[in-house]
Formats: sequence, C-alpha cells, structure tokens
Amino acid sequence: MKRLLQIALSLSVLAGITMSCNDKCTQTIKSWQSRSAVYAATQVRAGVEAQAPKDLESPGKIYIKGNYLFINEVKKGFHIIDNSNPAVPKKISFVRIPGNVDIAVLGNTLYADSYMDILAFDITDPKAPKQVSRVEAVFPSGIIDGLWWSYNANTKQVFDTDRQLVTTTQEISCENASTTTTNNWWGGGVAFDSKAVGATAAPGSSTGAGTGGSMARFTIVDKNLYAVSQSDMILFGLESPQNPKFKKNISMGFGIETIFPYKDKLFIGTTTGMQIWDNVNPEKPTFLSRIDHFRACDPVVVENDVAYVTLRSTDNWGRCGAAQTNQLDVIDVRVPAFPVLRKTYPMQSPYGLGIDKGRLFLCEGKGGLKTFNANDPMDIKLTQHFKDMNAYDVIPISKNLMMIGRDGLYQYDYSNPDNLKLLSIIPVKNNL
Amino acid sequence: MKNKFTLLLLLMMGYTGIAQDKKPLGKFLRENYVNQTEIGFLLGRQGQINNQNWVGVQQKGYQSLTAQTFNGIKLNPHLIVGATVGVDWYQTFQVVPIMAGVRSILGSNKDKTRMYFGMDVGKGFVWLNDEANLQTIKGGLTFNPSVGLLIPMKSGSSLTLSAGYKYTSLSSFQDTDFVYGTTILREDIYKRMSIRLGVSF
Repeated sequence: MKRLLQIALSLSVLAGITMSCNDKCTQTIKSWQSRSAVYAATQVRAGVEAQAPKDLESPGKIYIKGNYLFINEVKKGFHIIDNSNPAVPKKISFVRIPGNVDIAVLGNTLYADSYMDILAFDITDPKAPKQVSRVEAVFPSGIIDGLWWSYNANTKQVFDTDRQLVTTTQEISCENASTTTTNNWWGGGVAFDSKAVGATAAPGSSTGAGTGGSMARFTIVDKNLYAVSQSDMILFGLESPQNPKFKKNISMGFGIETIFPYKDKLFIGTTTGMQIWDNVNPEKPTFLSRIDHFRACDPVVVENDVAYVTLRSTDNWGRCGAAQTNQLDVIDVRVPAFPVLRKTYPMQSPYGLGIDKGRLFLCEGKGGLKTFNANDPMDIKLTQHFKDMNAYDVIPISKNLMMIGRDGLYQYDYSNPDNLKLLSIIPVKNNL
Repeated sequence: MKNKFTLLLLLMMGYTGIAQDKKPLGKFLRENYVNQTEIGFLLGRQGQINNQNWVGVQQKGYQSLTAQTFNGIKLNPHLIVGATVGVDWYQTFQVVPIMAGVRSILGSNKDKTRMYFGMDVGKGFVWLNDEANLQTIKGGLTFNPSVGLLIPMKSGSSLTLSAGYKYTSLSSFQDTDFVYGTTILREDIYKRMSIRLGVSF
C-alpha cells in the first residue's frame, strides 16, 4: 500500500513537472531611431525666446565668459548659469533657439547659431537676454550630434533629423538563434562629438571674448568671429558688436570640425588631420601647414607650442570614418609651418581635452575623466581617473575644471592638480 | 537570499547531526561520506513565439545534456546533506550550477530498491561562456527538486535513476560603445524536466 502511494505520488509529481516545463526567454532592445523633420525658416526664426531657467536635458558644448557659464542644450538653445561660486552654480535663464549648438561671447554680446542663421544677443542683463540682430542663411548645412541638417534657400525650409530612444521587449527563442531579432536593430550608432567635445582656449587670448572648447566651431579673435562649417571658415566682422557683418567665406577643404585660437595662429581640427592657419592679420587668415593622420575625430588644444590631439575610433561613424585608433598625439608646433608628431599615447575612447599649465584633462566618454601630469609632454603621466561618469567636454580655467557629459555638468577645484576636489554637479534630468 | 538561507539551514542541521554523534569528526565524515554522480537530460519546450518579426513560430522541443556530482554527509539513515556541482549544456549558454543539496531516503532496507527525494538550490554560474566585447553574462538562481530510485548493486553501491524539475535563470547584456548605439538585454528562464542516471556510493 505504502509502495503504491509512493509510486502514485512520484507519477503526479512527474506529470506536474512536464506540464510546467516551458522555457521563457525575453529580449529588451533599446535603440535610437531617427525621424526626419522639415521646418519652415519662418518657424525656426520665430522660435527664439528668452525663458525661465530649466533643467539640463541633453547638454552640448560649454562656454565661459567671466562669472557666467553657458551650456548649450543641443538644438534647443542655451542655459545661462551664474558661476561666481562654482560650488553653488545658479541657473539664471534659458534662451530657446531652434538648431543651436555653438555659442561665443564678446563683451556683452553673445553669438549663437540657429541652423542656417547666426544671431546676436545682448546679455547685459543675463536674466533677460535680448536678441539684437540676425544674419540670415550663412550656413548651408551641418551635422549636429551626428545627424545632418540642410537648408534649402529656395523653398526656405530646414531639413533635419530627430532621434528617439525606442525600447522593445519581446519573447525570443531560447535555443534557436535565428529567431532573435538583433540584426534588424543594429546600425543606429552615431556620434555625440559634434555637439560636445571641447577643451580650453587660453583665457584672454582674445580680448573681451570668453572661452570655448577645442571642438568649438566658433571663436572670436579681436573684432572677428570665426565660424567653421563643414568646408568653410566664415568670417564675421564685429566692429559693431551687436550687428555682426558677414565678411568672407574662406574655403578650407573637407571635414572641418573645430577651431582653436593660439597666439596668432588658428588651429583647425579636421577629420583627416590638423591644419594651422596664420592669423597675423585677423581679417585674412592664410593657410600655413597641415599634419595628416588616420581618419578620426580629433579635438585639438595647444599650450607652450605643443599641440595635443586626440583620435577616437569608437562612436564616430557617419562623421569621422572608421578609424582604428584611440590615442593622444603630441605634436610639436614650435615651427607652425612644419608641425612634427612627437609621441603617441594609447587611450580608451578620448573625447574632449583641456590643458592648463602642464596639467592635461581628458574625457574618455563612458570611461570617465582622466587627469595627467604633462609637464614633460614626452612623458605624460596619469594622475587621477574618475570612472563613474560619462565625460565629453572639459574646460580648465583659473583652478576650476568644468566638465560636461551625459550626466550633467561637474565642477572640480584643481588647486591641487594631483587631487581634484568635486565642487558641484548640475545634474541632467531624465538621464537616459 | 533564498539559497543563503537554505545553506544556513543545512549547516545547522549538519552541525546538530554531528554533535549528537560522539565519534571524532574526521572518522564520522569518512564513514558517512556519500557521493552521487549523475548524467542525464534536461527536457523542455517553448511553444509558440510571437514577436513582431516572428509571428507564431513553433519551437521544437529542447534537450540539453546535464552532468552533476553531489557530495554529502549522511546525518542519519534517511538524510544526506551536501553540495552539488555540475554542468548544464543549454544550447545558447552553458551553466555551472553550484548548489546546496539534500537527499532524503525513504525506507531502511539497503538490499531493496528505495525511493529518495532530492533538492538542490544554488546559483548557476556562467564561467563557461565567452563574453563578446561589451557583453556581460550573469548567472542566476537555479534549483532542482527531484524524486528518484536507489537500486542496490552487488558492490554495495547503488544505481540511481531520478526525475525532477530544473529551474535556471540567467541574463546577458550587450552594451554599446556608441552613444546612440543599441543595447540588448536578454533574460532567460529555463524550466526543464530533468532525467538522470547515476551511481551513488
């Protein structure tokens, strides 16, 4: 009897097991999908408005002028931050500008792009910036955050592309690989860099102007605003600061990305190398030399006649080509007509960099922020590595390091360059 | 958490068992050591899969090879506690389960075929899988209740035959270098019927 009971019990357990033996495998895919959009020029131009301060959402380049910090909100405008106390930065206002990525400031006038146009704002009262002028249709096309936009002057329309994160969860086959759907979803990778790779310019190198990054497309020297587009350098005269005048268009070749002023030279970062232009006469920059490298993204900073260039192979598709290297190059530019590559250091996935008095600050994207002792450019030594953030852009200025990334704006005190002290964070809302 | 608790419980049971016995520990362990080594199959199915690319795809039955060895101490004629280590060859991932195990034997006549219940609870480790660049594979909970027969052999060892239910969970995450790249999280739960043949001594 007992035996029978045991067998019956076993059988029922077995039956139960068989019934519930169902594998379940799910796949959650997060991918970015792009959508194209068309805006009428009038719509773009009517979209400019000074607003109340806002949270950071998708921060781009940063620009510093005096106690004020300007943070671009990619394609949406810029934030004005009172940074007189870096430990407690205060958001003052937000200026909505469709298609804005770059900013530069001269005196009390701020210049900002808006797709094809360039705008000037009076920021004497940073709480209420006022638009004072607009130069129309100076940029025919561009890449913002890895996506192309273009302006059709005949139809007066802006063709742009948006990107959104799409999450899909679905059941897949546990053991039959062919029913997984990964392949249909790949291929969305594009770069962050045109929006936020930066570094430093020596403060005061251009009187009355602020400081931008090494990946900035705008820079101000004397009474001239230089704006680089994909293939040209466009020169605006700022004799009357509130009323910038289009002066000339200088053709520079293909893949122009960044402009960095150093002494009386302009260092131009391109996807294929670095160009040096003589700017003794700011009205008439002339080509001096170029140094080529593998196709890669490459912000440039210069200090003591040494140019530091980073090349990145990850995350640059669609913009810089498929480079094979991730490295920091040290280029001797004592004789600007003959730049010489001196040394190469391997890096992880370098983005923006900044240098101040022999201290090199380098963003590694997802790899965080690295600080180096570069007193001897031939023997650069890692001093600190902050790993728990996403770093894209740095500006070191007067012992205050400003770093922007996907997580927000971090400020560090580098009075002791061997041991950075975190001062404050302006976080990003809805960090994806 | 669950496996930690089980482990603790088993340790406590083991401790009292040993304490009641007045023999020196080493001798006790030697005399009551039990090994059970088994090989078998994990049988399962998935039924239809409906996703946007594959509507109503009928899946075949799944059979995966499994091998495991249980080492334990007989605390009394009906209870053995110990640990089980094995390898489960699922097709996409291979899992090394490390589990706390218990075997409960019914009946006391060693010359007759006896029935036993088994329970193993632990974590399925995924060391055997090569992670792709930026891929992270994580093991998860695994447990395996079973019923079986101890069939005595002339040598004094027993042949074992068991059937049970094997639960295994794991996940793999494919991260991306690209800021706007695609990430894929795959979460697997295998609920299989286990059938094993083995020896115990």
